[in-house]
Amino acid sequence: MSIAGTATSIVGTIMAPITRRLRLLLVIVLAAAIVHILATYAAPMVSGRSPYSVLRKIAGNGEHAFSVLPAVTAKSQPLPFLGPDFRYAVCPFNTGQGVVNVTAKLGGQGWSLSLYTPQGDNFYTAVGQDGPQTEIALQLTPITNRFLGLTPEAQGRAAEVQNILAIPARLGIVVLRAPDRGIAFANETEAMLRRATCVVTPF
Amino acid sequence: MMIALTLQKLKRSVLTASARLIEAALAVAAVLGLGLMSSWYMVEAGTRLTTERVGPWVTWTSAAKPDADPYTRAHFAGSGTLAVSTDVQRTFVAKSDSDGERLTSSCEYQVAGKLPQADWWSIVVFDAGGMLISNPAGRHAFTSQTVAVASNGAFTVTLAREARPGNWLPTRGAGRISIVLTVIEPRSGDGFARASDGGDLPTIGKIRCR
Repeated sequence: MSIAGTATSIVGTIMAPITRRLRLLLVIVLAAAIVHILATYAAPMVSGRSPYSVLRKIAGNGEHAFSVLPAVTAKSQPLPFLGPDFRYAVCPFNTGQGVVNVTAKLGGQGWSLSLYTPQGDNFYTAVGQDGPQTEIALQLTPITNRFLGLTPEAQGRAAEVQNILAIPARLGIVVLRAPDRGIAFANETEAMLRRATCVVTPF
Repeated sequence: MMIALTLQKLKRSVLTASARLIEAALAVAAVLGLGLMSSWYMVEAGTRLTTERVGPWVTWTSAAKPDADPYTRAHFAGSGTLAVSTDVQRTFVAKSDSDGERLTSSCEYQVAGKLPQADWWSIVVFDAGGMLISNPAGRHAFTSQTVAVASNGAFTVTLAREARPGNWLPTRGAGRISIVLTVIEPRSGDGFARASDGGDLPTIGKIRCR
């Protein structure tokens, strides 16, 4: 056997277990990366009740009507980290049943109207401004090729709603938040929340 | 002689197989441990990819956004919170004081800083699970409309078990606590000086412990 051959044989003998271990380490790291990715993507699916399902249940599992939630206190807190500094009204909606029209008045700074998918994506939010109250009128339409009826303009009349949202989910929930300004304003705040509407117009 | 040799061979092959089995089991355990633990850490605590940290305050930069990364989605799905998109609202959570020590109800703290430059803001104290702390005063939060402000435009909120003068939030019996600072429609950046500049987010100082 030549010197080169002998050297190669010795190196191979020493490296074989090291190479085998390095290969094993590489396989472990790659497999762990796959587990990491799968666990991260699976986490939302295996987590507990979603805010959507909790709020929907509080709203009586009904759809297309605002429900004003009781004031958030230590004894009555439907979701973790839900601020007691707001009053809430929620409206679950289903655009599979028709076009959903939402109207609300934002009474100033701190007020907001948000739309969520069941997965918790907040795809639209309008916030109140200082000064005059902000009127919100939204029309939620599903993203679909289906014919949804003639537009008001096609029917020869002006559109009642200027803000038409093609939303990325059939189901969802509207959350109207009003800052809790204390006992003196409690009745006024609740009245404004109750005046919000969420109505479906069937196809 | 033949039997002895056969037995020796058998013993050697059993030992080899056992060693391989143990090696495989350890490899599987390492894969699962490494994969699950790293995922848990990135989802629970967040990293520079998903969060911004200023002192004790942590904010998830893509909270509730439709194009949020998987770690942010998993974090908020696991916590069960109803977040608002960071396009309009920033939420900062502190679980430790400015010295890095865990916030607990057995200590008294002072949250002090300049008023956020935003349309509306609030500061709320929760227990470690995100639930409000029951107290006879029914007091859990201060907002831009209810906080008492000093003449220099700064504010101070005291977190303590017993009543304190000024802005006081009760923490009796809660164990570990969290402070949540919410800023709606910040007028610049996140309502404070840029986080990368060190920021002007309120400091959380420990006054004393029982």
